[in-house]
Amino acid sequence: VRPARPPRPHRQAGRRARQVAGFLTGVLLLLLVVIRWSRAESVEEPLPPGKAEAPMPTSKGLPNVVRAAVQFVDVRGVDENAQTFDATIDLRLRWEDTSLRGHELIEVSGDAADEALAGIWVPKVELANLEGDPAYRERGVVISRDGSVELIERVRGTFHTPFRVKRFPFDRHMLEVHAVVRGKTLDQVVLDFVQDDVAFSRARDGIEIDGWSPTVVDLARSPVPGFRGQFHAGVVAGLWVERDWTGVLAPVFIPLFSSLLIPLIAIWLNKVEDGEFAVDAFELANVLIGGLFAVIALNFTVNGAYETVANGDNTATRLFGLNYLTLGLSLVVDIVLFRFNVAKRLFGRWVQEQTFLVLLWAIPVLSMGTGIAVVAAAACG
Amino acid sequence: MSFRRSAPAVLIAVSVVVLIATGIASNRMSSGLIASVEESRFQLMRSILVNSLGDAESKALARAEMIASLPNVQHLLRTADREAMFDETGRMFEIQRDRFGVDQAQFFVPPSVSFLRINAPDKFGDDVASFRPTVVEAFKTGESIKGLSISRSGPAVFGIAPVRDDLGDIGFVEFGLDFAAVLDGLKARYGLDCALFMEEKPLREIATGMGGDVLTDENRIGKYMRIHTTHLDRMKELVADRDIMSGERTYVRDAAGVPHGVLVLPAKNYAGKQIGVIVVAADFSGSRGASSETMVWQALLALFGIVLSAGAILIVIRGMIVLPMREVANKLAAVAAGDRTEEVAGVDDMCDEMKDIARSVEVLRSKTEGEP
Repeated sequence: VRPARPPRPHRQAGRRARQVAGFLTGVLLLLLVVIRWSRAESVEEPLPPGKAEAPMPTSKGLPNVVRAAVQFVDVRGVDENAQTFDATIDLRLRWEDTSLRGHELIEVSGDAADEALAGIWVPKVELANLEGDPAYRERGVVISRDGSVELIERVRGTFHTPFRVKRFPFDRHMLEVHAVVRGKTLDQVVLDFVQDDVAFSRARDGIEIDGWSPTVVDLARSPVPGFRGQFHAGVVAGLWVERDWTGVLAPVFIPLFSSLLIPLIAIWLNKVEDGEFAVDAFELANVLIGGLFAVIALNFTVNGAYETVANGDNTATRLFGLNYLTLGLSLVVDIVLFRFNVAKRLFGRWVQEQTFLVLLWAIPVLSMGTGIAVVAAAACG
Repeated sequence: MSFRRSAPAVLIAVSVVVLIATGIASNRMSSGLIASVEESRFQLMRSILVNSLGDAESKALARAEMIASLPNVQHLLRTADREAMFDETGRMFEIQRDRFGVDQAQFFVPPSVSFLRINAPDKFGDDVASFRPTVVEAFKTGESIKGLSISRSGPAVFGIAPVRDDLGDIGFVEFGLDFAAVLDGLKARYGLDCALFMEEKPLREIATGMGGDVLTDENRIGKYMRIHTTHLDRMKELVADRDIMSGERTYVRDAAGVPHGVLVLPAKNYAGKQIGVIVVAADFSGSRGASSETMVWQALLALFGIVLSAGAILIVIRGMIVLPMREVANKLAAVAAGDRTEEVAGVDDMCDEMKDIARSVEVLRSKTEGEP
C-alpha cells in the first residue's frame, strides 16, 4: 500500500487562488448583471409627466389647434457678442381635449401640475432656441370642465437670437423665442394665436434691460421643416428692443470721429512760404503712420468689445473705412503735393499754393461730412 | 468789383445752385419711386383685405347652402321641429365654431322670424325685420345674400341661403363667420395688424347679445367702438378719432418708433351702407428707411459736388489767372513808376497766354532800361 501523499503546499495555494478568482469573477458578473438591470430599469422608467404618449384628441378632426403665447417676465441681460439673451418667459399653450369634458376644474402648479398633465395629451412644444438646459422650469395648468386646457410653462434660460447691426447704434432687435411642435406635423398639430394671445404676449411692466429699451412683443407663425418634406408648426414670439445709442457714443463714436482729425492735422500742420512748403513731408508722414496705428488699435478695441460690429456692413465699419480712406488720402497729398510738388511741376507754384489752400478745408469738410452722413443714414434707415 | 473775389463767387454760386437743384430733382424722383412702392403696398393690403372678406363671405354662404340642401334639414324646418333641428345641427355647429371661426348660425321662417339660433338655442321666435335688413331682403328676393352685417350676437360676415323642398320655399338658413377670426388670420398669414371699428349706435340697438366688455368707454373712438384688434397697443398709436371719421384713406405713422402704413377702409353691408371701419397696418420701415437714407446720400453727393467744383474754380481762377496776373500787373506798375530793376518772376509757372503778357512786360522793361 502506497502511503497517501501529503498535499503539496503550492497545489493548495493554487486551488485557493482559483477559488478566489472564481469568487471575484462571480461577483464581477453579478455586478455587471446588476448594472445592466439598473440601466434597463432606468430606460423603462415612466416618461416624465406631460410627456406620456396619451392619445392625441381627434374627436374634432385634425389638425389640433394649439394657441400659443409668450410673455417676457424678465430679461436679465443681452449679450450681442454671443447672440443670446437671458430671460424668464411664460409660454402659454391652450387647446381643447373633448375627452376631458365633464371633469372637475383643475388649477394646479408645480409637481401637482406635472401629475395632472401625466395622463392627458400634451403637445410636445419645444423652445427651439433655448441654449442648454433651462435654469428654472415650472408648469401650471388649468383644465376646465369644458375640456379646455391652459398650460403655462415658466422657463428661465438663455435664448439664442440673431443680431443684425447694420444700423448700429440706432439698431433695434427682436429678442426671439421659438416655440416648435415636435413629433407631430402641421397636419396633426398647428400652433396659432388670436387676439387674446397677442394681448398676453407682452413684456411684463417694469422690465429694464441694461443698454436697451424694450418696446412691443410680436407673434408670427414660423413652421420649421421636418423629414420628407413635412413641416412642424412653430410660433416666434419676439420682444422688440432698441439700443440706447448714448451708451456707445463715448466708447465708439467719439474716438472714431476724433481719429478722423489725425490725417487732417497732418495737412493743417504744413504751410506755404514763397511758393514752397515749410514742413518736411517725412515729418508729416510720421504723423500719418502714427494715426494709422491709432486707428488700427481703435479697430481692435471696438471689435473686441462689439464682436457683432466687427464684420459686415454697419456704421462702425463704415467709419473705420472712412478713417483709413482719409489717412490714405492725406498720405497721397503728403507724397504727391508736399514731397514731389507734382502740382507745381505740372501747373506752377500758384496752382500748387491754391491747391493746398483748397485742400486745407475741402478734405476736412468732405471727411467729416461723410462721417456725419454715415451716422445720419443709420439713424434714418 | 474785384475779379479775384467776384469771378469765383459767381461760378461757385452757379455750381451750388445747379448741384442743389439737381439734388432736389433727384430726391423728388427717388421719393416718387418710393411713394409708388408704398402705394403698391397699400393696394396689396387692400386686395388682401377685400379678398379675405370676400372669401369669408363665400365660405359663410357655402355653409348655408350646404345645410339648406340637406333633406332632413328641409323636413325639420318644414315641420317646425326646433328640438330635432338643434339635435341635427348642434354638433355640426360646434365643430364649425371651434375649428373654423363660425360663431353664428340661424334658421328663419317667414316673414323674418328667427326659428332657431344654433349658437343660442334659447333665443327664438323674435322677428328680426327691425334690425336685420339682410334677412328682410333675402325673404323679399328669395335669393342668397352674403356680406357684412350686425346681428344680435355682434358683427359678422354672413351668408344666407334659402331652404326649399319640393313643396316650395320654407325659410332661410344663415351662417356668420367671426370677424375676429378673419382679421386674426390676416395677422397670422401676412403679418398685417388689423382692427375693426363699428358704429356704436346700431351696435347698442342690435347687438344686444354681445359681451359687455366690448361696449366700453375704453373702446370708444368717436362714433365707433373698437370691436377687435390684433395688437391693441400698436393700434392705439396708429389710429385716432380723426383717422377713421373720413372714408377710405391711407397714411404713414410711427408706432413704437417704427413707421407703419395704415389703410382705413369703410366696412359696408350688402346694400353698400357703411356700418364700420376696418383698419389694416403694415410695417413700412423698409421703404421709409430707404427713402431717408437715399436723401442723406444724395445730400452727401451734393456736398461732394459743391466742394469739388468750388475747389476747382478757386484753383483755376486764382492759381492760373489772378495770382500770375497780379505778378505781371505789379511789375508793369513798377516799370511805369520807373523801377526797371526786377524781372517778372515765375514766368515759367504761368500758363501760355499769361507768359505772352509777361514776356511783353519784360520786353517793355528792357527797352526802357537806362531811360530816365
